[in-house]
Amino acid sequence: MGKYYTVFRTSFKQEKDSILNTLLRAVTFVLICYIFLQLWGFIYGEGGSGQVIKGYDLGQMIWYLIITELIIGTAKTNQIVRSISNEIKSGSISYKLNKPYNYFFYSISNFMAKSCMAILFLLPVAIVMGLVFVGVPSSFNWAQILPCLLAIFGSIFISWSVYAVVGLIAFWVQDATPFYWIVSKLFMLLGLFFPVEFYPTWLQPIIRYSPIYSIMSGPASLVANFSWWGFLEIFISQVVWAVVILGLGLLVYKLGKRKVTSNGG
Amino acid sequence: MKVIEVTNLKKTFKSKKKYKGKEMWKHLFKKKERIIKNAVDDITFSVEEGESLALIGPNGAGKSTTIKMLTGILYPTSGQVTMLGLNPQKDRVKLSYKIGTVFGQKEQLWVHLSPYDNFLFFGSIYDIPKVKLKERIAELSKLFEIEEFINQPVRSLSLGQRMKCEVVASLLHQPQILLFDEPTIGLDPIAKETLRGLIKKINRELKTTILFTSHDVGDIEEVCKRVIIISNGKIVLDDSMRNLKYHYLNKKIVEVNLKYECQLDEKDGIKIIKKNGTMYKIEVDMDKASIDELLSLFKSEDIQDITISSTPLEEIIKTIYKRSEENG
Repeated sequence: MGKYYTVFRTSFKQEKDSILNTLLRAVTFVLICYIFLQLWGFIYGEGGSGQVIKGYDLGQMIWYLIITELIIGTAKTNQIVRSISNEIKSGSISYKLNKPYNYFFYSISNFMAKSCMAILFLLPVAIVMGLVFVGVPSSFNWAQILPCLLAIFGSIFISWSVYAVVGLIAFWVQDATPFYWIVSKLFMLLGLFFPVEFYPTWLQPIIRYSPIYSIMSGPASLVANFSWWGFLEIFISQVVWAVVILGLGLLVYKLGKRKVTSNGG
Repeated sequence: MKVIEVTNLKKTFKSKKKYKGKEMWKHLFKKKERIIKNAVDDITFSVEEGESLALIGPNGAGKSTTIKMLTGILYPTSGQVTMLGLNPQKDRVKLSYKIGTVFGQKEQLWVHLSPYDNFLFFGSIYDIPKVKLKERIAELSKLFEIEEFINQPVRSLSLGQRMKCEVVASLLHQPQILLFDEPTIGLDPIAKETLRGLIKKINRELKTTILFTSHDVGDIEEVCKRVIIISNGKIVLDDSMRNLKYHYLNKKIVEVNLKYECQLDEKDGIKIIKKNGTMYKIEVDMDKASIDELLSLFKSEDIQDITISSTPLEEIIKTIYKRSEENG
């Protein structure tokens, strides 16, 4: 574990040089959240503050969106897929395979550091935006801050792990991007815009037992509508999915590394 | 003691044939023809502890593929590799603690960080205790004279300085074998010379076994004592550097650009290969003549530019094949 913490720490240090990129990301984040605020304001109607749709008032809905956007904006998952996929296809992965670490864990640690640097900027922006636009969530209490942060970090970790596995598919196919598109669109459609309660009854258990809930709906719903029972449910779901995805990733990596082709120097 | 043992090693790359135009449509739903390339074709050699061996050959000869199989990155199609008694593919991680690698075409350093921070990173990756690591960094920094720029970001260093840091990073964990894969590629002559000196130093002072690949004969002339020439995946020569120099590197190619066209007469050991206006390409047989003798044929003030190089590797390989055919 110490090695991967070193990778994380070193990558975090290196990220300090790209603060401008993170600041630009914060501007995009504010713009997207503002557009959603306007959209949901329209859906909830003029007297929106009193109306409740599927258990969510306007304030909770906006907090839900801010958190899912925060997770998406922090974990720029296309980067890890592109990076792993390109390294496999170009053969440059071979220069990392000769070091005493596991490339799959190395990639996750490396990209987690990028997320942590991004979250340092985006989280305060998200909180200020939520407070300015809709105030504190109706169910807010100070004790929820730590569990909510844990759930958000858990979701980013699982998110990187899922996409690292998607990147590893490049061991077998020419380009892993189509797989990235499928997975990311599923996450977007079934988690980014609406909480689980908004989907048809038959679909809700499927979402709840999928990684989408651990990554998107779970942590965002927790911030919007906190309960300790909800936290426990999300925590268990995240631990289970983390184990499953890391196990799957290790298996895919073990099978895939035999397929490395790297001609030339 | 043998530290590297390679027996009947083969590596085959398979790829699907690409079709163009009408052919592409014809083969759209058909099983595509496979192209099989023998990158490494049944090679056998061994390396003794403390030896400095050069694996040279033209581009595409199979040098880098061999190095990657030695480090466990690539899996051989057939044959066996043993590095320090370990199977590189099965014991890749265990082996990585005992060997170091420097790839000329790929840097391993984090460019926004200083070499010092990079060394701390690699030290931690190789599980070196902190106190020991700091001592090792100090020792290597002094040996390779990098103290001056050790705290500057890597991105601000010259290619030669970076390469020195790459070598130090690979030596932190005291590897028993150091593998260099075309480390001089892209370096200017001064940086090349410095790096060659470094490699000699590592072999001489740290007693590290060196395996060095290059497609530049000049690289290995002063660095290695033994040479394996590889072409089309096969070993065409495995001999001492002294023998290679005696039999095949006794000729130099001198390209001279003069200010004016002049009449130059060939003499024993000096042969004009090509003449284009004021440009002369001359082959000097060092057994019969010297560069000084050649230069005495010109007035020094008439020379605009001069380049001296060794016989191209392709020529040496051709000569080796020719000789082996002549010998039956």
